[in-house]
Amino acid sequence: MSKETERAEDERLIGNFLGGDSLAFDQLVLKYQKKVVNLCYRLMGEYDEAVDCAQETFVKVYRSLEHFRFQSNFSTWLFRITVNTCKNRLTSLKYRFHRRMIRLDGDGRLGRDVHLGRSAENPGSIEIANGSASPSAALEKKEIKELLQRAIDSLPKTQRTAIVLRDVESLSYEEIGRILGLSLGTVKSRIARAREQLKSILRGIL
Amino acid sequence: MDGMINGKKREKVEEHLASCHSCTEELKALREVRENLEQLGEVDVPANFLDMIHARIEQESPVRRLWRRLFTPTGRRIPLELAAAVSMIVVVILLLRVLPLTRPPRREQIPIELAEVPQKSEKEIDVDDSYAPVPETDLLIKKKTEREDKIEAVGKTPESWIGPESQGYQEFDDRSEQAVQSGPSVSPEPEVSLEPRAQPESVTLFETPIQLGDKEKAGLPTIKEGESPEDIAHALALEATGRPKLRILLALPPFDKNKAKSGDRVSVKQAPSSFRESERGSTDSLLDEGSRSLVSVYERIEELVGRSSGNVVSSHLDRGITAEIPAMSYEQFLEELSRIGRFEQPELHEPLDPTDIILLSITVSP
Repeated sequence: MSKETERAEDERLIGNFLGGDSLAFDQLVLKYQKKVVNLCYRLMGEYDEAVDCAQETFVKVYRSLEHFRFQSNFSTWLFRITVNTCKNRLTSLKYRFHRRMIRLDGDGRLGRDVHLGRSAENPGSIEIANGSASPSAALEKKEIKELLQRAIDSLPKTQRTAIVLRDVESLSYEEIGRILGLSLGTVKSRIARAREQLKSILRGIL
Repeated sequence: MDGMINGKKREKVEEHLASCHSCTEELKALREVRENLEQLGEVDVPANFLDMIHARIEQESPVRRLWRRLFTPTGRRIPLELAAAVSMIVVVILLLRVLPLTRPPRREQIPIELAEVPQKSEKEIDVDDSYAPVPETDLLIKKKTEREDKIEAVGKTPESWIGPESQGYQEFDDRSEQAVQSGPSVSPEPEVSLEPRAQPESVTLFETPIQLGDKEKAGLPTIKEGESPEDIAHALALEATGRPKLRILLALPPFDKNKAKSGDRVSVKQAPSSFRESERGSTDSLLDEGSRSLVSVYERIEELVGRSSGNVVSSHLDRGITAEIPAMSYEQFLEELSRIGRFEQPELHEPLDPTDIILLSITVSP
């Protein structure tokens, strides 16, 4: 589906919703829920928090859809709300206190801290990372993903958002600029710094 | 790496990478990071995700709903700066509405000509100095003569009224007569001021409440036959204001029984008719104890008027003090005045409006 077609479909669904068709909103949710939940997960680092943030994002969209002026793509507007919701959650006192409590038993280093949040791959389980000095070749794919996520978590919020939107969600620089409200140059420099930092973090692990 | 460079720039970069080992390694490492991130894959969405969203939309707490309706009535968050500015404006408006109630109401200004009539006409009429200035000592002597007339009217000898400390005034008596008789500018008007002042019909000091005439009780200024022109003008000034007018005759307790054997009433007439600061300094040494006490009483009353947010219209040892008192502080004023002397509380014929300004005439009778 081309971008234009996608945009036209979004506008049709929004128009239907504003016209009183509540099912149109459900269609919008179903269309974007995976992208929003994943973006939240990469930004938050915890599945439960990510799902909660994603739901909050869609509730905000539901309440403010009447103010959407079609001046940008719906997806850009949606990702902007998603990023802002996650940022607010990350800076909220309650969340920071919660994060601090679950890290009390770990030493803060990658691969050694205790993760009490349910993982995305197996939401029903509680995982404890293997603290042994296993060689990278022996690490399972799941563990590598966990480590990568921890590496993303360790980035500053501004860099984390930019690198996730670019390298995880594969958005263009221009779209990232529109979502974050930044100039193209600022987006480029943030992504470059994030990659550089991730490279040095992952060098000793992978 | 991101396909952001094309053409010559791309060729230059590729040319450099072909020859630079460290840059090639750097690019390789960055590509690995990107590939790793891309391989992160996707997490699954909970099966009941849509239902949970609907539940959250419908289960909005009443508090949150109220909060949203109050602060985001249009669906947009009100900027904190705007909220602060609106709050400040509301506070300022409230303060402006409250402050006038706590401040004394703005008093109406009596025309200056009327308010100053008693003081201005004092010298002109009593000693006829409209053409030739008369020293203040002569003014005092003039009062002394008036006092003697008063004493005669009461039927007592001057000696019984004059204390030992006030004997010095005798010398000035002669001079005063000379001044009055031989002064070229003496006119018939002084005769008016030399008339004994009409006393209230029945005034008993210290023991029983003071009784005043009907007109005085009603708070109306009284104009009697034989009163001097300045008294009439003073009374007219009171009439002209058209605001609640009350009159108080304040009876003082004995200020010092040992020194006041000659009686305060003598001292009243000996004291200067006006005791503004400039005159007070020059005449203090000439006043006897009674006068000084009376002056201090007047000063206390003036101070009390000031404390009650009032305004002294005129202050005169003979005619007393005319003051404007805001109705709001009237009761407090009377209470504090009762600590200075006894008086019968003036009867109010109409309830006072808090914004009224009462014109109060206080005559001190030691």
